[in-house]
Amino acid sequence: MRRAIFYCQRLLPERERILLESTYKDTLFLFPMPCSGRIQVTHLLKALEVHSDAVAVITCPLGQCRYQDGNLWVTKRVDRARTLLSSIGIEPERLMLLRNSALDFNALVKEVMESTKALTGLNWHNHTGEDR
Amino acid sequence: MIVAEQKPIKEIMENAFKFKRLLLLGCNSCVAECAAGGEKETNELASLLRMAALKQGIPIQIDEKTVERQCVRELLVPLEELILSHDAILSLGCGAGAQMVSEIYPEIPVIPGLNTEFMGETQEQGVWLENCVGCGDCMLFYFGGICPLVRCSKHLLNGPCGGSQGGRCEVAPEVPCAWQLIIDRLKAQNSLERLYEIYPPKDWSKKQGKGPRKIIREDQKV
Repeated sequence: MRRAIFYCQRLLPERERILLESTYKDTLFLFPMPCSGRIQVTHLLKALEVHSDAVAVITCPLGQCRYQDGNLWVTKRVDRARTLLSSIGIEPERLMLLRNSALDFNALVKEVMESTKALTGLNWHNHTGEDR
Repeated sequence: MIVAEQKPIKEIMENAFKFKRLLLLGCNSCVAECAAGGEKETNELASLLRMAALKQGIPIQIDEKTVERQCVRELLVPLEELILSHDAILSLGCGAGAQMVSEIYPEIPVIPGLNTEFMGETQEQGVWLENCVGCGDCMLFYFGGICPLVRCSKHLLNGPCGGSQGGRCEVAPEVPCAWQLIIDRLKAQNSLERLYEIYPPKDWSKKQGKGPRKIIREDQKV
């Protein structure tokens, strides 16, 4: 089971990204973005199509987007992507949106790992990584 | 611009999955502006269809390409090799674009991915409003730039009807009364005298009844 997390790069220093990825080896992949508002529906769908079994987006706390309302736009995009997934019979739970309210990125990553545990891998992915 | 909406995914899949090699062809003009068939939407739909096919175990190759204008022959001709290497085209252009593809490549079936709705404007982000019926005899000057044929629920050329309440249409209260808008606009232009004109019934022969309309300009022809 592979999870991809797209997040605003302000939320996590690069060295911590490397540390987190090595902790959750092969089951977690972190993609820093200049702002969560840069994440498009196509990024979320493509991630599920070619790579991950679940995708999460972690945004800055409401009202703290450096680009004013990027973290509001991404909410709409995640909603739309979830609707599209439902329309083809894929569980919308595979897409999550979390706000970094407590500024504790590691806790949010744990939440992603926990809440996606019940999901099975998408049938077209052939992952060899250990499921955690 | 032409405003369109994507067809329901089930309807698209029903036709698209009959083929083995499918090309999604987007259009970066009007339908990109109305977020229905531009590059973003084409990529989204391609990804979605590939996942649906994989989930259902349907063997199909799905590729995508977006052209600047699907209704212009010159922009489609260079795609010959790409188009002919597929069994079918799923067009995310308007009806005109889809028909242009079909005309240039008659041996390839074209599936429309959009429903072409109307000619209109982007009123605000995410809101598109019909504002032209393409009557072939534009009278906007007389009505202060507001077309009663499309904006008035009763299509009155000699309004108002007298039924509007508080500037809203009596037929559809969510719609502003077109004639109220026209009067306000003409007042702002100091041209209220235009309201005294009586306009004869529209000559619809310029719009319909003689097959598809065509404009020929010798100065533009090669």
